[in-house]
Amino acid sequence: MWSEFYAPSKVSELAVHSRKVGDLRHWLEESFSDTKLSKYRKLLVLTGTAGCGKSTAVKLLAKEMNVDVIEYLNESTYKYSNEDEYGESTSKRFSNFLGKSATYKPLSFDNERSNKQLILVEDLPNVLEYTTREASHDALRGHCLDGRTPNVPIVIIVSDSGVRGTGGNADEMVQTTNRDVVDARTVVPRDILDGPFCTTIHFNPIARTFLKKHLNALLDRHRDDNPYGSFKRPHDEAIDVIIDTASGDIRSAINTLQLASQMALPGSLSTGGHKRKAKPLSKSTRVDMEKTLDVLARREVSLNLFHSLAKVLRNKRHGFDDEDKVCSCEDLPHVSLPEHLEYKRRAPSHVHPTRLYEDIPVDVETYLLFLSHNYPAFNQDCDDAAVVADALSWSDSTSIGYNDSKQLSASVFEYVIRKTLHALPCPSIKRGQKIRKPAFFFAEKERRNGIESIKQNSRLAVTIHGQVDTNAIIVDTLPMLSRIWERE
Amino acid sequence: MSKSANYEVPWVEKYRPRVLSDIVGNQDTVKRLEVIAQDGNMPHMIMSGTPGIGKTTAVLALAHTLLGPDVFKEAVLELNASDERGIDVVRNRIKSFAQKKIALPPGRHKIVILDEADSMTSGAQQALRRTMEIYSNTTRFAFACNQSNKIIEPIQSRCAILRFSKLRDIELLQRLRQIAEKENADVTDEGYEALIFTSEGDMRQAVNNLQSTHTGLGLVTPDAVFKVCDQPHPLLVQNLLESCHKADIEDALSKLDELWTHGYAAIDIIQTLFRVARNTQSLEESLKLEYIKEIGWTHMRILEGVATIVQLSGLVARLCKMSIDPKVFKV
Repeated sequence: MWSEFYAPSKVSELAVHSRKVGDLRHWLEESFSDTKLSKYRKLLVLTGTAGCGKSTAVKLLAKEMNVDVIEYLNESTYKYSNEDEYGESTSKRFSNFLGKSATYKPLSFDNERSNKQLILVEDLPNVLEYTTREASHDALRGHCLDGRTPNVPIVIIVSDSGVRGTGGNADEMVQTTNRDVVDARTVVPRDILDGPFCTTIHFNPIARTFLKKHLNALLDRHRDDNPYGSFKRPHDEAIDVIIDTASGDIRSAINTLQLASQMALPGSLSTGGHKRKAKPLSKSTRVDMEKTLDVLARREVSLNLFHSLAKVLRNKRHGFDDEDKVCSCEDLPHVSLPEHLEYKRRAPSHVHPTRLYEDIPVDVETYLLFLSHNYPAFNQDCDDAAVVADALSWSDSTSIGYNDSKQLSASVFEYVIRKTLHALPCPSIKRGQKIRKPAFFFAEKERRNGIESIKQNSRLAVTIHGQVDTNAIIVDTLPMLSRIWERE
Repeated sequence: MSKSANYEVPWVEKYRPRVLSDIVGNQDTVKRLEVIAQDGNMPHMIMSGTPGIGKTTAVLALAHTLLGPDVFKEAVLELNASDERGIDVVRNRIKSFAQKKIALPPGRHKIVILDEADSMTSGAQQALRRTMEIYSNTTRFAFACNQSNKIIEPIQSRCAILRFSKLRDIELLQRLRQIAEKENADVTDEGYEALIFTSEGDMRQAVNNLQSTHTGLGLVTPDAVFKVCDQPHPLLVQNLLESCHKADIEDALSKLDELWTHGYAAIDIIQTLFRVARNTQSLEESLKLEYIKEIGWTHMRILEGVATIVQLSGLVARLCKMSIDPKVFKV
């Protein structure tokens, strides 16, 4: 696979922003220095979306700085003949590993070998399970508080595991008690994460320009490696599309690129692709190419979701041509409608709700969440907007707790879409509306952070209530406390 | 294959396509897979789509082509949702399979197929991502799932995502015709229509229904199909809706009674009502959407446990009321 075959071999080849690499290098240098600072460089947490070069950056920097990387792996729990004596439990394994690697040095066979080491934890212990989580938290705590020299820093890599483009799954976010997410907070205990020994560096998704530069460089290398191969270089515009769909994930971009060049995209250059400056694609080739890439690499959430939202919100109907001018209505069957409902008659829509339901890339709830964030901009007056809001609220009250019934969610979806279409103006009013990601995700994240910090600081509440009830703290205790303090 | 055997293989298995070119539908996706088959270098893949549209079949066919029939048995590990797939299995079984040494054709890889991967716990998925990377030069993974957003991000990042969409009616028809011909089953044209209606784009269901109708009742007619599938006849339901549209409540209720005395469960009736209502041509959009809403309400109540004729009658009455001028109800 190209993503491994053509992985960068030098720090300078990294696609990561040089400032982040600098931060990382700085941290490592401080950690291995003899200054007092090294005491506070025990634990580094790297976060960021998948495929933004976290692991690669650490490994390459370590190589450059001549540091040995010891990697923690969850080995198979193979049965020893009598487990009690020899086997170590899963929860203990992590702490044993940390202890061992920090204490003992690897055997050195040549003297030039460095004695600097760092521990890389990528394959996390199963922190979703309570005892394992507690045990690994204790292990990390112990490591940080241990004042041993030379320093053996730990680098923990945590990929954000939300849904691309949404930053989280709707129904996952709704459940506040959900601890099924592996993030920096579940892996590292809060007191350490906020304490002086730990540093967090957040990697951003890789910028378009960097991605483009790297993909092109990679293609050049591939061409040089296979001078006689039947390699067909994807067109420049195709590369742009790949970058768009990858949303900053370089690994997936490279994977897509590899697939794309294996199967000769429409518009690829068959000449071995020496010329980077190619003619722009004709419209039909471009459509072809996009279609191919769409099947190939459609990241579930992304362009596709926004396309299908736009389709609903633009509300195209029969009897209007592409520029929304009234044109002669085709001979559509006239269906009867009771007289008192005649005012509700609309021209038949171009949107086919059933097909839309089959094609949406996310679950119904997430889709409706996006819709509820975006419909107001497309509505003309309050009454119509209220109709859509009503439909959405109905969908909420109907589908709660019935996630398993596909049939019901289908009917909920169809009703909401049809009602929305019915209430939206046609032809749609254009005032440069953009379809956006719901603010819900951001608010929900803030809320969770808030709750988390309340939980951390709720000793006071414990003495009052005897037990921690977060809701009670938020609703009763905190507001009252702030009033009392205001008085004083 | 001996014809004398009394018991038969399920047709779904018997006629499962063995090569990629036999797969019906999703032409674009299958074409990509064919290119991969030629190239030999299979990437990690996620295949997403509703049940019965050929995800597993496609990857099995691909594996067959890549590895050949002899090695196939040894070099493919298929784990289903019904198999235990906790963290331990991921760590032990998959890992030891990945470490196993097998003589493969040059340039080929061992393949792990994880069916219904979206039902794996996120812990198990986390445990998998490192394994995928460490052994990726010998082992490639294929995940089949209904919704790819249930697969955690780090795994999505490592995979090519192939989307399978629902099969179109014409594609189902084509395949059903082939099978019926080979099995000498008599199917009327309306019989095919009924099979397609009951299957909702699910090939497995369509073939199963064809087989059970054929073995049970011989000639495959719509009546036979709906009898075997135990679903209300859509034509009856259509008539019911038309009576509602005409606000003829007596007639509508008697039609509902007829369905009910046939012994159909409330949930079956409501599901058929929904499917007929959304496809019918005889309702104007604004009315249709209100119908769907009412049907959805009743559906919810039935799921709550009140699967009674009273609920269904109430639904019918409300549907009728929509066609009546509200002034009539004013006192």
